[in-house]
Amino acid sequence: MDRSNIESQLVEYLRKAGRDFILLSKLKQSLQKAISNKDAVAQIEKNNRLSIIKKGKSTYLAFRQPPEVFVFTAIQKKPGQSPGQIAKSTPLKIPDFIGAINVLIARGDVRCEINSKSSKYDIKLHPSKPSGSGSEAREDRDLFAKAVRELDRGQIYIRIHAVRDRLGWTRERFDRMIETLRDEGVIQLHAGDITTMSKEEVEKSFVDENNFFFATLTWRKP
Amino acid sequence: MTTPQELLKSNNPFYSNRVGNPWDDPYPDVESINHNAFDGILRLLGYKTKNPKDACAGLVLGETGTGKTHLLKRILHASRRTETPAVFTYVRPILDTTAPMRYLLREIVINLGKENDEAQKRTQLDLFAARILIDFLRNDQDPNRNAKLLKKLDEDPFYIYQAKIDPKIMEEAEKRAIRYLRRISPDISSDLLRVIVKYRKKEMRDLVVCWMRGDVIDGEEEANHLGTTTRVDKDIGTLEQEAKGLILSLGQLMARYGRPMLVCFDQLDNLYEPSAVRALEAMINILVREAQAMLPLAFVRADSWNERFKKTMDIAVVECLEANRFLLESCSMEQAEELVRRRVQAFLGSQTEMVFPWLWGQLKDQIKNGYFPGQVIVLAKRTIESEGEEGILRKLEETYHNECEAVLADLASWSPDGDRLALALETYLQASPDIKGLRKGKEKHVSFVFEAPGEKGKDIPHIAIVNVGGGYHRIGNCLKTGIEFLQKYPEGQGRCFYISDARNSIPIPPRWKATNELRQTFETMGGIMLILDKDAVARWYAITSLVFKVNEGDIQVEEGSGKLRAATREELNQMLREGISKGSFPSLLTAVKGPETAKPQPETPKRQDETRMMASVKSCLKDSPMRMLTISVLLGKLIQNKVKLDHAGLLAFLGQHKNIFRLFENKQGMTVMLDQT
Repeated sequence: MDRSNIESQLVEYLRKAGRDFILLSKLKQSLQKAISNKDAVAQIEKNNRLSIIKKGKSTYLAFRQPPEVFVFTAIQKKPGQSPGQIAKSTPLKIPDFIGAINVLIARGDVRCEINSKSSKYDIKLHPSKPSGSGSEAREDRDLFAKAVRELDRGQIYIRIHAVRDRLGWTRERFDRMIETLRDEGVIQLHAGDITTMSKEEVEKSFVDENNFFFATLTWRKP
Repeated sequence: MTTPQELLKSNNPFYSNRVGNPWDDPYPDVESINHNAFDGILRLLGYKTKNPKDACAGLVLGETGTGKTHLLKRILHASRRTETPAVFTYVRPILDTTAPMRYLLREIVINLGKENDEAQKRTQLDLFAARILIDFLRNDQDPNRNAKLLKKLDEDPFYIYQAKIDPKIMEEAEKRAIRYLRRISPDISSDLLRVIVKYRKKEMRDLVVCWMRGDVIDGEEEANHLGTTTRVDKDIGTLEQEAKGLILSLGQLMARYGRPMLVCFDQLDNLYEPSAVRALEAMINILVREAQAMLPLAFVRADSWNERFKKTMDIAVVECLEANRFLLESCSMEQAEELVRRRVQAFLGSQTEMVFPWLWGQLKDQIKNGYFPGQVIVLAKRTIESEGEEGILRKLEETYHNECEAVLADLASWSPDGDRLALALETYLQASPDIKGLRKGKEKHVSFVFEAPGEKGKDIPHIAIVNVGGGYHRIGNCLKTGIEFLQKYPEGQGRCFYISDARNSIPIPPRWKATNELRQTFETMGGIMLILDKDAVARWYAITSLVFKVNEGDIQVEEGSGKLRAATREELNQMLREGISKGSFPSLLTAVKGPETAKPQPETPKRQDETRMMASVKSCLKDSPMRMLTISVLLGKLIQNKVKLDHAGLLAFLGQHKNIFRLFENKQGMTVMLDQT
């Protein structure tokens, strides 16, 4: 079986399971016999979309994405958990996890709450309110506009995956901003030409509520 | 009682969102969509009319579904109006990148030969032939001599075709007109002038178009009729130079008659190879820098422009195109509503008010700000069908059959073309499970080399020689190449196909004696002549058309999740492979012999039968629900009414009367509707 085929099957498996990562030992039970752990590990080392992460004695197969995304996804799934509980729900080593939490707090994606019913000053983590109002939304909008400006070198049509990469936001936060700006008529979305894009770039583009695919955007209003 | 959804489902006006050819786009347009781009292009055209020598070009950036074809159609209609007269040329993707000038000339002449005036059935070539004579009459030494005639010609230039003028006087006038034009514009090709004025004679038209396209003329006798040479002995370089000269001469004529040519390059996503981009560059360069009164306009997806063309093309050409850049826009909610209403109106006529409120009620909340017309159409289709997954292979198969019929309905646009036949054959062979080692032939005239099972089931070497025209010299050399191959692999040890279009094939004996002898030798030795008749030609060109559309991302289907995506080349191959294996896709390499005449004419009805034919078709359609029928059902009804016509003839007839009949794709196949607008 060729490399791209294994990769596609693994990506498909994770997608269907709604997971960002999985223990490698579970792969053999779950996937077709054609893919063994050995095959997967050997191929994934050089892979663009997937990575192998070692944490203690465990080895995980995970999407190649910034650590903040693993953490934010975990907080979103179960808001109000302590950092320790969240850390168990990610494949990250402790230093990477703490670094990611600090980035998310500094960026305003995650807020901390001290549990008033506990005398141990327990901290609980929550995702911030959706952008769309207030200063956070304005800030996001400015960041988005800045990223587009920096990428526009007279091309007018800007690749969505490049904006996504530049901002490094969670998928939800980025997509929400795209939808808001589209609805307000600030940006125009375009299908683009996927034949000139890599699979990863296609995946980092945007699919809307009606399942239309968009690869590029143009700025309509200042 | 039938519900609005059931009514719409029975004849879904949104079944097809395919991008067609602007000459035969059957769907209604909403003029306000992309009006900025349209107005800008007309302004550019107006500038070019006043300044035919100024270098300018335009670039239209728009994705699939942004309304490119409708914009092209609108430009086509505008070019027919008297206030903005222009010549419209629609150029399809180039395949033979070694001869860009001949390709451009051919595409220009094909468009010049299209009916510009559906009521009068006149072409742009008619107009030029008339204008040359009128030009002379107006500038005659004694203009009073022609005063009466000129007055009538001012009102209608085509009066020159009706006026009862002594043929000898006309011929003399033609000669003097050519001398007159050469005197005032010495750079205009005298051959071109000599040939173009002969276009007014019906019996000469095919030959005139053939010569103007840059083709080799079939015989000395024909060349003598035209007053030119056959071009048989000319090499590729000389033919390219000649084609370039003819383009420049046409430009001079257009500048003189204040009628610039808008040359629209479409489907550019098919230009993958750098050599193809270079060929496009060469074509645009000559139109911008050397030709007068010719305005190139490139239609391309923005992403492809940025990522592919801009990075490969010469900076001067890029800057020239980008100097006039038009971005296609999304539609507003009002435009989306109008788009949906007009499409329903075109299909359901008086029942529109019954179904439209229901459809729009379902749709309006789904349409997002910034949607393009194509997305509105997809949503409308989805709402009506309310079913999930469409099989991509089935969609490709349906599109293929519809393309076959579309080619048959407009065979003139698919003039004999060896490159397009070769692309069809290559696509077919790539998908054929029995074919091994397919590669392009290194030897001259050999298009493809491959291995396939022979009569005993064992793989044997095969060659395919695709050749369209080129005169007896070239055809003879092709046959000699085939004979040499068969001598090397005698008695069924190898197989050779000679493939050509029946419209441009070998004349029957006693003409071309030597070539016919070679043909006989070739066939005696087991060589297979595939002289494609019009049905076969339609099958071949439909594959080419399908390839272009797939490359352009124009064939789209919904997946189970409701996600819309374009069909890929791999899926096209799969559709063909499965069809070939199951036998449902007819083999392209089945021996078909074209009619034993040099240039078979389509079996269209004779003029005396045309009135009866028109009445019969109209009657069948009027008696049908919604005044529409699929082509096969209509043909069945006509046969019952004892109208003698075959499938291809019916499509050709309908294609010639597009102002009365509307041809469009439907789930049941190509469908014709008596126009209700």
